[in-house]
Amino acid sequence: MPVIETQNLSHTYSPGTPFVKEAITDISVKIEKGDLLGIIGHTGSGKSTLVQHFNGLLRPTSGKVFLNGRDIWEKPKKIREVRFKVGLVFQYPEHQLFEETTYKDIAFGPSNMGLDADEIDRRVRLAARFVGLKDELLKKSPFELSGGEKRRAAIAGVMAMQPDVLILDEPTAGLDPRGRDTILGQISEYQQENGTTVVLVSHSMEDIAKTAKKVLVMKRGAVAMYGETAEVFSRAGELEAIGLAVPAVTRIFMQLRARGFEVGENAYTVRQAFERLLPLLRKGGAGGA
Amino acid sequence: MNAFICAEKVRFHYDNRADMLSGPVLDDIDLNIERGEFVAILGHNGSGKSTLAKHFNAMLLPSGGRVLVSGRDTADQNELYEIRRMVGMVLQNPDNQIVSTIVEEDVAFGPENLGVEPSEIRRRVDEALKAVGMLEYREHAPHKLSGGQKQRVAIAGVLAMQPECIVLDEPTSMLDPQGRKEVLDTISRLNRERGITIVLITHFMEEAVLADRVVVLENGRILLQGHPREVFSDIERLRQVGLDVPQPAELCHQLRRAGVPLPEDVLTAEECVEALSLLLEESYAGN
Repeated sequence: MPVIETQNLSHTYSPGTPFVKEAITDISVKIEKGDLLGIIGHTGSGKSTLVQHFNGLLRPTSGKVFLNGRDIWEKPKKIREVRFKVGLVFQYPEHQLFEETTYKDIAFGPSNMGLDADEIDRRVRLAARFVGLKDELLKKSPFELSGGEKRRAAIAGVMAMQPDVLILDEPTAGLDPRGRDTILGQISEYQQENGTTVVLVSHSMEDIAKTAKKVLVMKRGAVAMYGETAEVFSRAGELEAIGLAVPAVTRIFMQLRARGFEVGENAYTVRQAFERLLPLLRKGGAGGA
Repeated sequence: MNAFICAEKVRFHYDNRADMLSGPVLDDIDLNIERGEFVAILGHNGSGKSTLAKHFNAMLLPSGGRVLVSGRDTADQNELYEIRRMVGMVLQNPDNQIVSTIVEEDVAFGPENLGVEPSEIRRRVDEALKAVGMLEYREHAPHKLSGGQKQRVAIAGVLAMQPECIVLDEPTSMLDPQGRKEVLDTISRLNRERGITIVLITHFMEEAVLADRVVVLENGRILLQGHPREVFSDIERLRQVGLDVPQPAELCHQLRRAGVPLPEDVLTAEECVEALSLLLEESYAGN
């Protein structure tokens, strides 16, 4: 049974007004337990609208959303429980820090769940450890942290709820390469250790290529592609036609193939490209390996 | 001494104790920027790159050393207006730079404050919006534009002041790929066609490739500088300071280390394809 499933999900903003906009149309997807799914698409393709349905932040205009096989809107009053099970980290989540100390900020979610003090403490420390925030930072005001630390504190706040599904909307936007790699590494590690289902929304193809196991491509409010990462990136020509910038190494492979070189299927990380090219380049070279 | 911007032995520290202990943010920076040059300043967060940029239009004053803009000392209060007119600033977050509810009013804000004649303001606003490709949006509400469009409006606001130099502090880091391209195309064009001096602060190497010169900062000091091709061939060093290496350069670097005779200065995917094609042809011929 998939952990999240949508059936014919559509959402229209501001219906019945001049500003009416159909953001997503007739989306039926299944997300399996333990997946690390990347969602990519242009700004305005409906990525954020789609994931905000997964925890009931938005209510479908039509269609259904299932969590562990149950329609999340079956009992609208119980929607709060869905939000504990599906944690959503917004874009620029550091704008939402508000408590006196970083510790209290991370504890906010688990406290709302009615957990006892010991359990809250355990979860806060565990989540802080996952995102690499040292103990002494927990006593500080979140506003004294650096930009990257604030971002990680905000992510820890959602991780501390120990949701079944963790959704992160553009978690690396505005970070420098070091900050970006740190956060992506921590998300992968967290996913592997806990088996949590993770959904990563991004417009960075490089980030998705490095991190995700499966990829869902959105185009004008609909699903354009959905499959294993390798399979989706092998359709580089279609991705480019949608206007998504494929990683530079993928472009290199496409062009080499177009020139008639048999370099095999598309590579999308530098590592893969290196491993495919090296034997080809050594074969005929003077030294030969 | 006729460089447009001259930073001479610039030191800077913020006035609080924590920063005094951790050392200065800028430490003895000597840097000249010529008229019409396009300079990219690279560095990771905390390297001092934004702090340095803010010295170029007197938003910050050096704790030691001095900065001259077209021969005027930024520490001289009397020169402040002229320096800020000559050197315009575009910041990271487009939403923090909008002051008005209509695009053309937003662009007019700068020249209005300078006391420019209304008919002249009209002319400058139209011209500036045209230069960034936003003229057709002149009556729109800025908050409803995309990120890339907002940044272009911010650039138009600076252009309306008729500056000689634009300093952009990570103008694309909050934008999607489309917005990023719009902004970069705009600043490259302003540099090429109008000779406006550009100082681009960024941590994206792909953007720095467009510049005439790249300056890499680390711990408040200049670590490397030179033509992008030169700087980006020093991959180990760049990686050490936490910068991203463009994928084609990285791939060629790894292959070179494994003994494949590739050139050292490959930057773009196209160059990489050329270099690899040559070798692959040889390799096929050898079989």
